[in-house]
Amino acid sequence: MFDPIRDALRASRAAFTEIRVERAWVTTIAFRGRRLEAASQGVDQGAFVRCFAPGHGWGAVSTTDLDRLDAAVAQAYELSLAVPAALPPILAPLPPLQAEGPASLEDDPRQVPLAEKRAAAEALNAGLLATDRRITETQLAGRDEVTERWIGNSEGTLVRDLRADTTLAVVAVARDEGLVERAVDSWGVRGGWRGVGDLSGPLAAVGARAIEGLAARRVRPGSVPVVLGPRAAGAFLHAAVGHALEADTPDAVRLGERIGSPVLSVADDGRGAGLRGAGGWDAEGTPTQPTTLVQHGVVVGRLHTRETAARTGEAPTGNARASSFRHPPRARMTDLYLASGQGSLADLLSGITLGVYLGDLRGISFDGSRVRLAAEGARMIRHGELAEPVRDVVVRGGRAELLASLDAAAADFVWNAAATGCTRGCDGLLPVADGAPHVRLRVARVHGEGA
Amino acid sequence: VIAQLLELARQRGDGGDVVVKTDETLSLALDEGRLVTSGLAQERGTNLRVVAEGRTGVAGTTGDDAAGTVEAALAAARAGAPVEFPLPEPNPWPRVMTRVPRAASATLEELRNLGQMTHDRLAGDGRRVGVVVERSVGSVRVANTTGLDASYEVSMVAVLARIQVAGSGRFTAHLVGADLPVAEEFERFVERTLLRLDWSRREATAPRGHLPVCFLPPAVRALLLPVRQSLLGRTAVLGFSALKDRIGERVYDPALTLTDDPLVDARPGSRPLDDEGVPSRPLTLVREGTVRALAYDLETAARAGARSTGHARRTTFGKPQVAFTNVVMTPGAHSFETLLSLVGDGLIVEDLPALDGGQVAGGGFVSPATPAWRVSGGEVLGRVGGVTIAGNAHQLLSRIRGVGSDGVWLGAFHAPPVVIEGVGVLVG
Repeated sequence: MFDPIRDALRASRAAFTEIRVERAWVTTIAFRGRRLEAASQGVDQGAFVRCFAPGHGWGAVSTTDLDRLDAAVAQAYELSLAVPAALPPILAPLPPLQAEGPASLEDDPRQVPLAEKRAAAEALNAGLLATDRRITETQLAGRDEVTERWIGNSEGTLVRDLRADTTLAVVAVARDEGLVERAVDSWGVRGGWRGVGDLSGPLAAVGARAIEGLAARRVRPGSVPVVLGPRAAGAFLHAAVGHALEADTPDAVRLGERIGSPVLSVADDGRGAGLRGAGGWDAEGTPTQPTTLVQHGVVVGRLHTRETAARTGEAPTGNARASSFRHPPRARMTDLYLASGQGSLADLLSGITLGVYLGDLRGISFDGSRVRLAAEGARMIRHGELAEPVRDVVVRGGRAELLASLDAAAADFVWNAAATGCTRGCDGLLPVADGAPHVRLRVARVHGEGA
Repeated sequence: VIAQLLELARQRGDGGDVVVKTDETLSLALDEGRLVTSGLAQERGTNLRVVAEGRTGVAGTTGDDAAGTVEAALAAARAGAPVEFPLPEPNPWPRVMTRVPRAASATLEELRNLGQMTHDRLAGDGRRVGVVVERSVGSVRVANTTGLDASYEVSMVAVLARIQVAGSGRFTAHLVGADLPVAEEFERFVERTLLRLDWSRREATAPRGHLPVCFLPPAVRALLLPVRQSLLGRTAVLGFSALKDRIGERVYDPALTLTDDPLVDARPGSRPLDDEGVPSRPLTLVREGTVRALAYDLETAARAGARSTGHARRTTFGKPQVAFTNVVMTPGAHSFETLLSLVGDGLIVEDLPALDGGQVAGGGFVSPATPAWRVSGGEVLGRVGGVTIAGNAHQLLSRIRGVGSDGVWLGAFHAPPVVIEGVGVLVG
């Protein structure tokens, strides 16, 4: 693929041209109860081309026709000419890079027959259904994708990457005497099915959580201390902090701005082996790197594309990301984490007479100022101990007040293995990971919001 | 490629069907009236389904490897669940306008002017307006091994305005159709948008409790999502439809009539046949509060012991899904002023974003109301923040106090504003 890219770049009349070609092999399997609802395969291929003519803005073309890259470059050039020169693009300088990722994958999902994947998914689903007679419904969705990606630009960069991404998501519904409760979970890896590992134990835990939820009562609303498990903390961090650090958002925070308590120290690192946001290069061909973003509550860095870096006078961070060839690169997180603190979960719980523990989140929304965390696996905290499960728990509050309320982080950091995706900007689903230890909010408003 | 795919499906399996969709979308983004980016997206996708030994398998591709696609579909069939249904025979299909030549041939300059005009009409008073104009042209071709081979062309024009008002937050406004917007439609779009901006000049205190609420068309669309999900054949065969066993029963207020109409001209869901080749026809879903019918594709119809209603929709990847075309809620008799007087002391709600997706067939929801305005004595007092609406959509739709006479198209959905009483309003 390098040759057609080189030829198309050579033919371009633009001041700068970039071509990203992708070919993805995708398999999906979905069970609902004991019935296989879907098993399908596909090949998705295409190119994203963008360029700007001297003194003009970006023109961009995405196409599924890989035989006509030169035509796509010419069309992008014509589109660029239509964009007036009021604010022509500028790009932070980057040395040309020629590099190739692996030629093959050690754990390649394409080598596993679909029938074998189906059998494995069916066995996991059957195991979940067998957890307890009260588990009456399940949903299980497995997906693997292998993507080969080539990136070239008119400055001489040519890189090629090959990677796999595998996810599994489940829902267990428990019913008993008119009560209904569900539990959800997911797992995702940058790799194939071997990387996902044996999920029989974790799946049984999902079933057990749904059963346990049947006996859960609704939480009494109030302002109490709240402890977030690593998964809940990571998701909270992604929505409430991470997006504000993406330099192309209108609400991006400023360097030097205090956004949280001294407990808040945050970084992004796109190099982590096996993590879903990881890769050798971003969608502009910039090598990924660790980027310190917040130190003790103060913003010290932001996530950049080459263009946002040039506009702000900061350095590119390797965070230009695109979910597919259909989308332009945007400043997005890769794998974001909250630094470990001190002590254990028991230390965070000690001293709390009455509070709420959120193990994971079922949903999170953030409207630019207010955050809403809908809990999965919530429990009361009573006299320094985790106590009975509670249902329909929602924590709501202003972002600033919640981040200021963060008063402790434990030393038990873990990367979240969930199949997390980021949808900001409606540019498709970007695989990301987040990591955090247990953290404590000194006080937060808790609601019982069952509809 | 289609003939090759079907021939291989016939040779290697027991037949099959295929849909090929092409699309070319030109997008222009304007900021403060200036063109800042222009982009073109060209896509051609093939979705193949093969039948083999009573099982079906699906494969999709944006490439052109016919043999590889058939092999992938056969592998999916071997791993797939048994299901049997006949593929449609060639049939005459109805006429409906899906492509408007002047929209399909509009130049970049004409589209830029449309964006500029949108900006000029909405800007002012410190408002920052960003506009995206998109024009799509494309084609759909459906064919199968029983001899069906049908195709039609489509066009679409969409205008999206994002308006930033200092101190009042952000607003969005959409206009979508197969044609360039005609003057009357554009003026109504501008008028509606400016009215909401005018309401937002002042802030008001949010009320709480169980109140009458006037839901504007985007919120009506959100409230109807649980109803629409429950009326899909897939939801019914999976056992979580709230309406499957209530056909013929009066479930909602008599003011609610809901129709799916693929034959209305020049809307995003308009089409002469569905993506499995079943001819299109209007389907009354709810008439005067009584549930009349569910929508099916071939597979869900076979599983439910029903007939396809022509509601299959296929994308490049994955199996066909049951989906509505153009959903129309029948307007009522009330002017907007009358609706406000029916509210008396309550709220106007523009949208309920938490009801924008996911599995909500049960109807229970908790959603921010964005934006929302306080109404007192039938007058709009101003914008209120931090309002959450909680309730069950099925129950709320049985408490309709009034339906507006002024319906609005929101893409493939048409609805008037609706006043509902006793809506749970939380604040904070």
